Amino acid sequence: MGDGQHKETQGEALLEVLGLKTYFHGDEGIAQAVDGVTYRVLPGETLGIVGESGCGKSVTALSVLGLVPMPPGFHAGGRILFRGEDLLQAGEARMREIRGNDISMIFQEPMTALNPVFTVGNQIMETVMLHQGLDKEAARQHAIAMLEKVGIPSPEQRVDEYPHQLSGGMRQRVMIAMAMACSPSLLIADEPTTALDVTIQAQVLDLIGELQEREGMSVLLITHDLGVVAQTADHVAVMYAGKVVEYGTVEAIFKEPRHPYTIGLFHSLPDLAAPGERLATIEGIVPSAFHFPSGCRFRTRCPLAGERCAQEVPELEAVTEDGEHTAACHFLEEARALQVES
Amino acid sequence: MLHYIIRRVLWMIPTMLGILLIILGLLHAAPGDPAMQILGIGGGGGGEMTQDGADIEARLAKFKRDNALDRNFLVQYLGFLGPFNVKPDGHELFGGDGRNPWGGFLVLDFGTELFDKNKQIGDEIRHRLVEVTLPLALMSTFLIYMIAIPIGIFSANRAGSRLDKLLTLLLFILYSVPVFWAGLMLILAFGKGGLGWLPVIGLHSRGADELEPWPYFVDMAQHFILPVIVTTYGGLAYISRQMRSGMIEVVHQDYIRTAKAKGLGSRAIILKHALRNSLIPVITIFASILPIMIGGSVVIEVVFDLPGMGKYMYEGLLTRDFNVIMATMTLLGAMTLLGILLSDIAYAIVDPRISYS
Amino acid sequence: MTKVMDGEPAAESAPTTGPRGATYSKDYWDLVFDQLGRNRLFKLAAVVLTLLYASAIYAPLIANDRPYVLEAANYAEYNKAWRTLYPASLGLGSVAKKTPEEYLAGRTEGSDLSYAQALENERMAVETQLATMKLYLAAERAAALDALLGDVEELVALAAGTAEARSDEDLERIKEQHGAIKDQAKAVRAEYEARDPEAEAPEAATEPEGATESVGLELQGIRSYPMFESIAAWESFFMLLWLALMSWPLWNRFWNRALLGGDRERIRRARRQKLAATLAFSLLGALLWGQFVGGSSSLNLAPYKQALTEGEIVETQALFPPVPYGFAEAHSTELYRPPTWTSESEIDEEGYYARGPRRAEPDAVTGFMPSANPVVVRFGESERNAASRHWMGTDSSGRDFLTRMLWGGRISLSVGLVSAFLLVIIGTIIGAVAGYFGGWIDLLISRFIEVVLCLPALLLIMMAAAFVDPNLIPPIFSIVILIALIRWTGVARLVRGEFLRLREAEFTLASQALGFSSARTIFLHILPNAMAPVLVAGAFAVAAGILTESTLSFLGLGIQEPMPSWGSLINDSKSSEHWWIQVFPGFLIFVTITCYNQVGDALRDALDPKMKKH
Repeated sequence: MGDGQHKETQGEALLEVLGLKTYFHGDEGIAQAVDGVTYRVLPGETLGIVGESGCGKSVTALSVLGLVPMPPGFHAGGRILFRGEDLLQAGEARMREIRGNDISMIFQEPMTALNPVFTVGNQIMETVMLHQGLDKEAARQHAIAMLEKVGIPSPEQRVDEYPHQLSGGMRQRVMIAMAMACSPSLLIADEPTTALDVTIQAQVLDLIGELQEREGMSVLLITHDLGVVAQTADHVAVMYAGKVVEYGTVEAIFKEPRHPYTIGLFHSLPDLAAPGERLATIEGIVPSAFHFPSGCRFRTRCPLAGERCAQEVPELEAVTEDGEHTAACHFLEEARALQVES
Repeated sequence: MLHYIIRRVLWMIPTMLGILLIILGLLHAAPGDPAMQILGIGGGGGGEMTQDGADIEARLAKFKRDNALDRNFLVQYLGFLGPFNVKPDGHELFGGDGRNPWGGFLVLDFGTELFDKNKQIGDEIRHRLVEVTLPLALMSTFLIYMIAIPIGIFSANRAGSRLDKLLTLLLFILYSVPVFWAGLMLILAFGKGGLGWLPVIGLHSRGADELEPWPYFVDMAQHFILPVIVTTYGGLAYISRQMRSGMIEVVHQDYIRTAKAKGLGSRAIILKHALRNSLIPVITIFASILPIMIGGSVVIEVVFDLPGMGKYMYEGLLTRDFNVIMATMTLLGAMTLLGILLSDIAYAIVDPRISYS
Repeated sequence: MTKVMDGEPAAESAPTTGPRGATYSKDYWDLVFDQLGRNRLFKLAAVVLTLLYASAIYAPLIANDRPYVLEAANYAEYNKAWRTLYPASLGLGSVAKKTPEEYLAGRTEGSDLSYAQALENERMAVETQLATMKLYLAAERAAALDALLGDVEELVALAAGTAEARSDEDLERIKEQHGAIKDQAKAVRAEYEARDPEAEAPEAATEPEGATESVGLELQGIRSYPMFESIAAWESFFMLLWLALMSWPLWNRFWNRALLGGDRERIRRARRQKLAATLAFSLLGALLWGQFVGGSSSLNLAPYKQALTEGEIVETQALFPPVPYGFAEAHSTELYRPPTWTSESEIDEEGYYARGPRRAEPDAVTGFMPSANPVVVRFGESERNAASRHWMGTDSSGRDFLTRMLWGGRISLSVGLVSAFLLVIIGTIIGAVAGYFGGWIDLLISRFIEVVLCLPALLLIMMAAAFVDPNLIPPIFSIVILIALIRWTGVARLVRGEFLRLREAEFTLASQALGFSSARTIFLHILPNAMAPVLVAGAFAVAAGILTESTLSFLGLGIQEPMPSWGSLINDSKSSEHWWIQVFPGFLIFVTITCYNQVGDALRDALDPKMKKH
């Protein structure tokens, strides 16, 4: 992907986010939460978006479904193409048709994401009754079927229970059931496992993978956990401070990360082979979205930062010949050396 | 659910006993001999004219004996509670001569007025409750919820807009207006001294008995308008504000975002998902404003001269009529308790998170 | 990878730890003040409350029937002393001439005075008259009286000295001395009469000798400050305190610059010292005032105005407060007078209302007019129909309503504040105990609170108030105590909830692990965290207290006559003819309650731990 020109690959990608800019009005000015982000999700595959808290990954996901609260937030540019249709231009009525139907989303906190005063079944039935016009009885049967699909035992009983009667893991399954009820082509999962125990994490991820295979669905997975990405994603986009800094297949990124930030991320993972060693960290903290550094936003924490970094924003450049693996850094060669050091 | 209700109802019993204890205790704890206060001896107000010397002593003693005020606290408490009558003509257990062994609230005997033995307090209270106090309270509650909920929703929808800010300010001011002053101001404004649109005293105009049923009813309704307004505005302001802030908080919850992500329109989101959740605290709040409303009813009945139970209690206070005071206070406490119970039950019905614990 | 908070750089006001766990709150309070400062309505409410409290604290300065400064001669007093001088000297003589035995023999029944005491009394009688007269006389005139006084002393010494054994010569000398005294007294009686106060006063009151005219002496005025003298030490304490608090911005800046050198840390720590300094200043000032100036603010109808009106006192200089009425000063000729700036308040010379519903007309049948009762305008007051005469009309006894409202504010405002303060303390202690210890203590307390909360607080208070004997406890105290005793339950429930929540917090476990006692944990660690909702509840409690007191007084169960409180003022009349009696005090109550509610709301928003900025 070159600068300013966003290659549109016709017909292939299910979802294409092109140069998306989502900003927020705040007391201290304008926060450029998402600043020119580009990525695509191919049919049937999983794209993982990785980054620290505050890098804007959730906001891009919310932007796809138009769930960003619009009084403080606003779109300053870019396009979101779903099957060729620009969602940013679609009206609210069209978005409502798409939500829960063609594109579904599940959230981080299963505890609070379900309405406590309605039964689990009711909340699942709601979607199918809305989008597919089923009557109550049919919807209920469908809900029970969905619960079974996501692996909840005794679904005929569970369907009438309230969220507070279920455990965290089960609630997340219910969320998934609710999201899958209308067989969407794209599932957006915003940190679906962060709030869960490790064992449950694995189960939920397996479930998502299973459903993806069975239904031929695409998944846009937002996470800060590299382990999750490794397990589930086909492609990876690494985000920092509102921009994509590296993009490529999972193998490529994990084997040869090229951006200093990505390299730093991998370095800070505890190494089982060298127990007892001090954990490496990336110096400094994520800058406030209101006060991003000029030029390359990572330069305040980058060991390779030079003069050029303060003046020029690096664009994504191809690292491999086929252009599949890209990174945005002025010192790509030097970064290579960095990567070799352990 | 039934289990829960039964448990709560059973809880009412010790609470009622406690209420009675507190009322009687407070009456006795106040420095000064209640009997002397009642008879107006030694500087207290109300009561009958004082006479001289040893005469007073004798009258005081007889008064105390007749009304069981010379007994110790526990006996007096039992006397009001029942079912034993502890007066001189009461149960033998307490030294009475057995003519009227039973009495007290447990057998629904509220006694007679201290200064007019012919007036049965129970009848009087019933009459007043049905005619005035209950209709006022019910109508007011109904109006409060009817008006406050839409206002709350409306205001939350347009949170931050100028209209919303204005409304919030108005509600806040309304909430701060003292009840008795509001009544007085309305009387000045709408009564004969002002616009003269509405009657301001009592429940019926003079000569109302001679009217046909419909005009009679209209006349009574006219008399009710101002009292209802005054009873309603405070609770209305409070609940509207709660509704609004509750709504705003609910709308920021995650499950609302989930509902939107499912493709629901804003109408369905507000009326189905948000409303149910924001109603819950508002229903429970009713339990806490109820005592205030009932307390306020006394003031309102006095200001508008309505013959209700509140005014009865006030008159009893002025004359220090122990029996009237005990009966009315206990009943008002019971009404409050009942209201709280109803509110709790409603809460349990509406919120599935509460039930069996 | 370091996991950092969402997008925000580390806050500049990072918590600082100190010797005690609670010092983090210093910066917390900075943030709180910041939030409050941005709240416009809060600032408005604070200003209004400050003004209201000022009007209550300084009420004696604003509305009083005692003048600020009075330079006058009390003719009536002088003349009375002048008239009594001669008889007093006779009385002295009669005792002096007797021997102790004679005296005791002729003593009136029931008197147990010894000879010496009787002598002393007579001497004092004469001395008092002379002293009074001297007050108003010029120096030369007073000299003659001094001579007389000297002779009196001699006589007394003589009589006392020869009390044991009196020879005939002694008796002769006594008689002689007494004769001289009598002569002098006669001379005084002839020459020292002051003129009749009812007679015309000459323009220049500075002539030292008016003896050329046989009208009588012109007296010198003495200067006094009646209003200031009537202010008690405790009143001056609050006046000084208010002044100190109001001028805080000024002297605070000076203190910060000069003494602390602008160092933020030292400034923060000095907060407590500044508060203490304010209190100390006020206390000291009050003590000094009490020593040198103050009297007691008593209820008496200071007779100054009446005496001045009737000419008993003739002034050369009199300066009255802007509202020259006492709160118990009745005007029998102006009962229930509407505010004098309205047209319906106009009264003609005969005392009849000129228009409006009170207009007097001859009776249709008999042609009879109700008797004329002309308005009496006292010294220092405005004209009969001046708009400024009674800004808010008068009540059933003709007392100026504005004055009563100002003085009534003292009671209403202080009852609210003190009762709220008390109930917060009681509630906090009980709630803390219940929440911290749990178990059966908690069970007991919670049950009790539940039961009490079932009963409408207002009714309980009404009931108890009706039965408190006003002779045993003044209503103002009983109301405050009753409100506190019945309303603490709300705060207790709140505090208990907070304690239950905080008990499980980690810092509590830490403090226990360090071996701190329960009391220390409660008061030093948990309590500061629980205080936020308590402060909010406190503000609302003041509003509720004011409402309760005014409702009680309005119903006749609270403050009694003649003490004014806003509620009891309204109780004066429920007739719609007397609208000013209901509108004005009620409006003040409403404003005060609104302001306190606003303060509570603002505090709640500012103390919100989530610090939501909308």
